[in-house]
Amino acid sequence: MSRVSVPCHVKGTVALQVGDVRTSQGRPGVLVIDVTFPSVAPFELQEIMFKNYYTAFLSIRVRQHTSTHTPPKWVTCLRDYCLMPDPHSEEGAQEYISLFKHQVSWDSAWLGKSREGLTGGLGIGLGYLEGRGEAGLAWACTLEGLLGFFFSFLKAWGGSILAHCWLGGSWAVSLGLAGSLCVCVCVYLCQMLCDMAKVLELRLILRQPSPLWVSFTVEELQIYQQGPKSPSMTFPKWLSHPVPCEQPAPLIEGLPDPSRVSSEVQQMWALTEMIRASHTSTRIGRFDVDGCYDLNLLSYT
Amino acid sequence: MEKRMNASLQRPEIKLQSLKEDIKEFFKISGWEKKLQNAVYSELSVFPLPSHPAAPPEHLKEPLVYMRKAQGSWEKRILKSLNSMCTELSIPLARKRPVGEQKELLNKWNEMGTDEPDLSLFRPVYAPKDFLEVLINLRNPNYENGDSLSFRTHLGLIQVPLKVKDIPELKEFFVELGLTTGQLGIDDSTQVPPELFENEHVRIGQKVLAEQDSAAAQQYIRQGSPTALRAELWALILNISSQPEDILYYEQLKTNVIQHDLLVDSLIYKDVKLTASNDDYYFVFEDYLYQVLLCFSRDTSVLGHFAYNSASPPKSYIRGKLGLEEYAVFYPPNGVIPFHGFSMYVAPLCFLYHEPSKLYQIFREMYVRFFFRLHSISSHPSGIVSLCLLFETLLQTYLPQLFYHLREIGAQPLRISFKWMVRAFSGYLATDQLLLLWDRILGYNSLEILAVLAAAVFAFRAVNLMEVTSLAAAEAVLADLSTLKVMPLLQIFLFATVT
Repeated sequence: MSRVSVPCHVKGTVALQVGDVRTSQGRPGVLVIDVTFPSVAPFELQEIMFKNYYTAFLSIRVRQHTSTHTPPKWVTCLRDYCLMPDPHSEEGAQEYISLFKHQVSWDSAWLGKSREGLTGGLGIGLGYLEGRGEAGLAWACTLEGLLGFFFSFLKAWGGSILAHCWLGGSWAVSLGLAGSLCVCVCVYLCQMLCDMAKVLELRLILRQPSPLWVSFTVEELQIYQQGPKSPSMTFPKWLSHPVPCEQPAPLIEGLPDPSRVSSEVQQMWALTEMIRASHTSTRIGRFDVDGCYDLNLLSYT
Repeated sequence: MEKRMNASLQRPEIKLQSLKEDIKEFFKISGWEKKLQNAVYSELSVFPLPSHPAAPPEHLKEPLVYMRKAQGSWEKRILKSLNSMCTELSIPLARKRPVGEQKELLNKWNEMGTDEPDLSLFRPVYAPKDFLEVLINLRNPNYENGDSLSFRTHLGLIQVPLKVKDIPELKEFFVELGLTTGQLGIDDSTQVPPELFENEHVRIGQKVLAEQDSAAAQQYIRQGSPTALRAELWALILNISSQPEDILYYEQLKTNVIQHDLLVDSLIYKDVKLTASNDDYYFVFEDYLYQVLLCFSRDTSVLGHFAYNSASPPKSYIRGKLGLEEYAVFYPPNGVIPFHGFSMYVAPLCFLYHEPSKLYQIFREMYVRFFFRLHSISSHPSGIVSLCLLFETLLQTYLPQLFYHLREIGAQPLRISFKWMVRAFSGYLATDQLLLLWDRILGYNSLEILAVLAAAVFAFRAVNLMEVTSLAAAEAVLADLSTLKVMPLLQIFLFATVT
């Protein structure tokens, strides 16, 4: 899916701290970054990308344009997304992160261990197996746990996901089929807790509970909206409505079927093109320049 | 593989429509499917996971900026040291050998050990203790390292807060080393009847080799490898098979050694003479070591590993063409400057492989998978910085009295164990024990076991260490590790120590 960068103005970080910032000895553990889009109309946000710098948890609030009558409201769209699994150690401290509008990673749910897939959320999983007359009710306090349960539930009964669809808002439903006659429904929250249409302003709330770090922030913040869909092309009439071909001339005895021959020739042509296009990757292993490897000193640059 | 494919395609029974199916079938019956699986598995083990698309290449080498900078400054120091050696001794970094000298070297290729060049003026570019000083001074500018002692002070030498595993996590990671699982190195001792474990283990090993499955071999070797099967198992795990092209490649490297003389060669000679030649176990392999290490320096395929190594290869320009990019080359051609003790990475392999090109391939693969992490500054869990921190953390957590005592007498434990870990214990343990240890490095695809073993050695000699009163005395207690049995030590430390 193509995406287009949205020019944004990132305001300076504001530390949230109890008491006087100057005299207090403790370090603020919460920072707020406001992101405005002065020259852009309310748009649909596709992706937020940034480089982390020692931020442990990230929450994002968005102010959306509603109707012309009501003033725009702030809505939390991401809550306590974990960037550093252990806030006291360097793991994840300087990683590049992308957050998507609707992102559910099925693999991560299955393995229960992916960072970018799912954020914490509440959900209810409901499974009912008609054939065996059993019902299962799952209450999972993390999304990973929930979907993990759901999938293992399905798998245990030899089932699979049939479909999943977005219900609107931040809810999605997943439909699984197991056995001959059963339906499993899993309703869950996706990564962004709200719809990201008509974004006016963003507020990033950074949290770093560990006192070990001097400062923390996010860098290289970039916001993307969906790129334009590829323009629809009008095909010439003869391409979209080919003339029905005439009856081919009756086959002469002994010759192979021309359509078969043409398909085989096509495949052969494709093979030759592939071989021609592929470059050999074997290295020659030359380290000298035209046979000369006379060196004096090493270079520092 | 391509050649085999082409050969099979020429067979008359292959039809074009079923080409895809025929190829799949051919893969299965000729064993090439397995080879392909092994190759893919090998790539997955070596290369890091694909990173974020916006991440620049240096982020893949090392994500933390301050570590990249530290590695850069360390490299600059090494370059300066090498350059000053060049200018002092008036020896060029590289020169083409005159024809007479080339012939002479070719004649004595198999007995380069008999050569006694004057190496007195050469000194190693750096020793492990110099590298330790750099690691001790490694600081994260964003990390609050207050002057006064507080909960955030690291009591050991390493002052960077990398994530390291604790014993519960190590128990889970090394679960096959547990008390209830059979191990070679423990359950194959003379008192234990072989029917209990050893015979069955050997039988399974032979089956794994027959199947030629890298992943299965890697799982199998976690319990140790029988001596007779070790060479083949390691080759299978590292996905090394001696094809004619590989032997040819090795011969090509040999030709490069004959044609060009590098300053690095003298460093290698000196290192071998100082370390392996003086070792009771390895001196017999001196000639092999030259044959492997000199060729290693000329191997440009090693440059590929710098994509995921925080280090970068040194650059130079052809004489008289300073600054012209077309005349920029890497020096040495493989980008790796050997340090004091480098030859000890190769020496234990000589027990397993006697054919020079195979020995070479195995060493090269071991280097680009594991050994490079032991002498470059990075945040990788198997990097030397993490290993040092893991060692110190384990010791502090589970032997706090010993740690405190050693610290008080000025004998920081890492000062003693660092040289063991940098060399992966080569030259310190008896060779059979060392090979059992390296089995597990391959099996778990991680060097963390070196840190655990170092802590286990301290735990084993804790009683004696508590009585010493100086660093020298502590070194003396830990000077001789040749009688240690590696697997019992590891098992006791991980699974049988009361915490």
